Amino acid sequence: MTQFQRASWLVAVLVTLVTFGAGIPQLPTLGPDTRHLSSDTAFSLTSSTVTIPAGWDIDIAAASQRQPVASLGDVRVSVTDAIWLGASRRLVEHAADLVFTDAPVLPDVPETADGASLEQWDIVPGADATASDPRRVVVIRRDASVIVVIVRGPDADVAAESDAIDAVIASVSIEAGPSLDVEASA
Amino acid sequence: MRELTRHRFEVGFAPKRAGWWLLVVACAGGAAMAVWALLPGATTFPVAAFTGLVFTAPLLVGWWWLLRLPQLWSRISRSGAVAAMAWGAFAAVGIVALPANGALIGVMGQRVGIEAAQNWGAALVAPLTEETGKALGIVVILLATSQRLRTPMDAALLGAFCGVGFTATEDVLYGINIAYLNLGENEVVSTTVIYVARAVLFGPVSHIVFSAAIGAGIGVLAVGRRGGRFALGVGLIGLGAGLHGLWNSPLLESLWARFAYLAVVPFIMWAVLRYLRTEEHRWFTETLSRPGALGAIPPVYVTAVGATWWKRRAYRAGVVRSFGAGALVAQRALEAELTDLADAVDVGDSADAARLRSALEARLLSEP
Repeated sequence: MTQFQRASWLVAVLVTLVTFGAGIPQLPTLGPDTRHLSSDTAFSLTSSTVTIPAGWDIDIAAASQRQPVASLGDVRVSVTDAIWLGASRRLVEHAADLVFTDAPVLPDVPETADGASLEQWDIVPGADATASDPRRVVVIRRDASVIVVIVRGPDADVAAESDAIDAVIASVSIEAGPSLDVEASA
Repeated sequence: MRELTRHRFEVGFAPKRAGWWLLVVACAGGAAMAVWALLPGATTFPVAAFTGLVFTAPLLVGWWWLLRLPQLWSRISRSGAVAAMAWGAFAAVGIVALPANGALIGVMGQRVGIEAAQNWGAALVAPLTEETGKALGIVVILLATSQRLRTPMDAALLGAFCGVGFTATEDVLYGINIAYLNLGENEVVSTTVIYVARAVLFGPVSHIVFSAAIGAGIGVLAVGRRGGRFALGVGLIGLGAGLHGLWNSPLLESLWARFAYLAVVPFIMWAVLRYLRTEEHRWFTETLSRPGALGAIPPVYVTAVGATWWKRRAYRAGVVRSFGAGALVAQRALEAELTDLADAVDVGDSADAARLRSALEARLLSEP
């Protein structure tokens, strides 16, 4: 290899590194961060789907990686799925540990609960919760499949949009099974 | 082949070479970026991160040993292999893959649609970013050592070592991701399952295989000795990227499809390896047929060195039958010394070539 060829390869490698490391990460800023939904839209997670109602905005980057984050005004709802094999009480404790910085109020989960039938557990922040903590966390489980819905935003806004949030939670469907609202009402 | 004494791609302390600085700075920068990206997960799930690091050692040792097996005609130096692994583990992951993967999948979501990005993002983006990152390692090692490729196998081996480093970091990341996925229920078990699945069960179709195929393609383009080298080189690069894309695609969603892939890919790689062997053999015979290369060594000894491990084994068995078990060591030494001589002649190391030649002449011409 001549000195010129070596220099050319060196420049080519440097340009490629800068392109991938600094240039490409800027590309998403050229497009919209969110998409406004004009109709109810189902989004896939690994083993479940959630339907975000019309009028909400969906974070494109998060939804593209199967972790939908929807917002309505200042309210943000993120939906993520998980797998849990053990008792539901431990599941709720683990989920709370991961999501909250201050001790939340945990639901009273029976020792025997293990996801054999559809379960839904609501975790709410404690009295001293900081503003960065979620306003509500819902853990939905059937068998080993788990969906965690995390709601953030100002208290007043979350309260005002509670029906819309409930609609999102109710739309969660684990695998090909019936949706939560059908099971819950059954 | 352990008898080979000459090693390729020794990466020493060479601050006068810009390529050496590129290797060092990019690996350091990539390591910082990879640690920065992994740190939140590692602090949330320290047991998963630690378990992953513990498994990394046998993973590296295992692949190190496995990648010695195809080194029949050349020996990658320890420092060269370590440098290639460092490039894959740090620069390729930290500078190329981690920043670009999410961004490009996000752009797909913006331009093509969220569903398309969910289904095809990893299949289309990962081969582009990750294979580019690893392939750059081949070029950087050549720049850092100021050496050139001798045969396409050189590039395939360097690419494979870059793949080992890449998969080592990615496996730690997967261990942390799976801990997120099961909310940290049992970090040791979940990380172990990930390592068994990725390193053992699906190891034969991992990053090492993809980047070895791409390295082979780069090598064929650069130093291929047969006709149609452009088409074959591009084809091999496409093969590596295509296998990676297919592995990530929804086409292999079912388990049986994964196992079918797992069953077919080793045969494809066997065919690639066979081709690379013939290229190495051509390099060997062409180099030693240069005027003066062999000195007084009878050319018949060169033709007796088989292109593949199997051919050599068969020939050695014949030697043992004719001359007794003690001849096996001598035959292996002869094959290695002739290969060392070809390497010394090819890279213009006249002093070592003269030393090897005279040693061979003295032995071969004095023996019956």
